[in-house]
Amino acid sequence: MTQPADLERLVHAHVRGLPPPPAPQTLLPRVMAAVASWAARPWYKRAWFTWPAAGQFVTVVTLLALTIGLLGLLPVVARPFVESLADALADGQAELAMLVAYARVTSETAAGLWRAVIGPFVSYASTLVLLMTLACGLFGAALNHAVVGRMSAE
Amino acid sequence: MTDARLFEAFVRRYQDMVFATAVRMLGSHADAEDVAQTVFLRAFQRFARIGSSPAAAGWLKAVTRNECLNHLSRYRARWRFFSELSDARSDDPVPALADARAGSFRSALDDAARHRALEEAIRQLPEHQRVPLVLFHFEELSYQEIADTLHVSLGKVKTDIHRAREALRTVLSADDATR
Repeated sequence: MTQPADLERLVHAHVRGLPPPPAPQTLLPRVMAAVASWAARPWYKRAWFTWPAAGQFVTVVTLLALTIGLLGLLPVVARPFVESLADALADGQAELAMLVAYARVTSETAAGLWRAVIGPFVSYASTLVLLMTLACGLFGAALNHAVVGRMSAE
Repeated sequence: MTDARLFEAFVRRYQDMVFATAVRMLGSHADAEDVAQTVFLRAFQRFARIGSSPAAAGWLKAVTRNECLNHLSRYRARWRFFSELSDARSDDPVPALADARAGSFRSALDDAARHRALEEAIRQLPEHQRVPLVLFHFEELSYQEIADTLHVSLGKVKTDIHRAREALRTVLSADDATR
């Protein structure tokens, strides 16, 4: 059984010894005809830089005219869009002002409630929470000392 | 000497090389001639730069290879489909093309006939085996470069080339047996 490397060498030696298949006699005339046809193509199918000066001048002038025309036409075409956009912004602005007013009323109400109802009790509530936290801590420490101390005594 | 005469000499000098690369990759004389014409037309468009360049042969080979791959790419989906189908049946024996060619090879009496038979055996390989084989043995691309060029996995390239070599081995063995 031939190893893959041996097979590679065998095939390589044989195929590399093959002479290149000769091109058909028809290839050269075909290529020369195609080249002649390409060289004889009309000027407007070639690169712009190779066009006649008159053709280049006409295209530049046309391009400029189109650009200027588009720029002149732009405000007329864009006006309806600009106006509708401005209307939409104005509507949006009114809604925004209303939202700001609502927010202001809500915050003022919340501040009044805080001052009248919650504020006076905050200091007392904070002291109570602090004391309860300390008490819980002390109770936990005492419990831990009692349990661990008993286990180590045993 | 006019540009046309110079270019004609250029075509005469390189046409065998370009055509050989194309016909081996494409397996069709008609397609290879079309590709060769396209390649030389592109060469004409850059003739001022490559006409007398020592790199002209390399440029022509690279362009021919790319044009062949472009030509094949329109059949690429079908190519992959059949290729993967044959991979799935990898237990199948190597295609019987070699057996068919073996007879003519055995009867060949001179080198030219043997060369023709081997060329024909390469041409008869399925496309998904012939193209990587040609890129490896004639164009001297590595397995990885072939995988990158054909957008297939490295393993698939190795498998396809190995199967192509197996197919050619039958022809070569028949040749050795007759010597």
